[in-house]
Amino acid sequence: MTYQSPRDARVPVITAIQVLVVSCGSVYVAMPADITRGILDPQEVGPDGTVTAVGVTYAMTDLVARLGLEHAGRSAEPKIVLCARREAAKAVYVDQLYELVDVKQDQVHTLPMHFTGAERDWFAGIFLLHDNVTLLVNPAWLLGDEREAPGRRPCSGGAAISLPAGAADQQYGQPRRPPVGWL
Amino acid sequence: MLQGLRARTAGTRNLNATRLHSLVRFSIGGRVLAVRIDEDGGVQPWTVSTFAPSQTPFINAVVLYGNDFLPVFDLAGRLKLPTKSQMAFCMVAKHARGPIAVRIDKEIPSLQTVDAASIRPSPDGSEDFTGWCTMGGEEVPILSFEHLVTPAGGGPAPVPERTDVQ
Repeated sequence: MTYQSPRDARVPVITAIQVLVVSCGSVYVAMPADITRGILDPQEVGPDGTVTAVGVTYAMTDLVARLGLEHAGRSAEPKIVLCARREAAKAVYVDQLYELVDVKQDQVHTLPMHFTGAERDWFAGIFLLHDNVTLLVNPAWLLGDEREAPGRRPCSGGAAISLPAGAADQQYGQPRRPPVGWL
Repeated sequence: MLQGLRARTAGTRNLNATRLHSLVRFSIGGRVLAVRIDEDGGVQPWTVSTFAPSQTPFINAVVLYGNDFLPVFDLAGRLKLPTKSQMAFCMVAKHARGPIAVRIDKEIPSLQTVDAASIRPSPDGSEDFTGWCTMGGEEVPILSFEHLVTPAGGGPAPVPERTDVQ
């Protein structure tokens, strides 16, 4: 019998995080994949603004509106991303879904310290992906209480359905070049 | 006696010595401004910036220089100056929180040396400007990036109007 000392145990070092890349208006946003539970079309949302999947009820939230942005035009293909962690569950409306991708942790920078407003709660970091500046959303803020931001209305639509497991693992194509940057 | 003579001479020399300040003269929205050289981290060609949702006044974009994301400070907006659509330069300003990118006009900034005694305080006591000086017969406000980048809630500071020296 081989005795393995506790010191021989290898502690897994997380060197990359998997994110789901979406767009809100003209901004690329990354959502940690470990909180995503599924993808829906907006018309699949219940008339009461909730989604129920695998016994979990998700309250709708419009990420575009929460970030103070304007929705993309008709060319966008909006999606609802089901997100959950512990007891919090939200159906997040985004303008466009792109891909599931691994990002090295050393690629993710913290938001520059000159940003001193609520955006420090919105975003956990910033990184470059396919030459596009992408903002990593803070899952705690995403799934947190929205009552602190009055005036933001989640979108609603469609009928509720049950979502098959593993839908979040699908790839949705490569991100496009972003619109002309702000000058 | 010789030591006393030397001391008096040194003191006289100090009184006659001129303290000089090095300033970087630049243009934004067609308006000439200056900043202390120790706040200027260099000038580079302007690159496309990326909008970043933000509630920080006048900071809602980033640019990538090398491997660093620099916040973009909208100095033109802060001072209520027009933004020219032509090609521009990027002044990398030094700030306690780290370097910031400031879009300035395509006029190449120049280094100017002025007599410290000629720098006058801002007429309205604004903390955004450390003073006024005369460069080439023109009254030029001296701004401080350290004071301009304020926490949320800070208001804009319009550039005070001054007549040029005749």
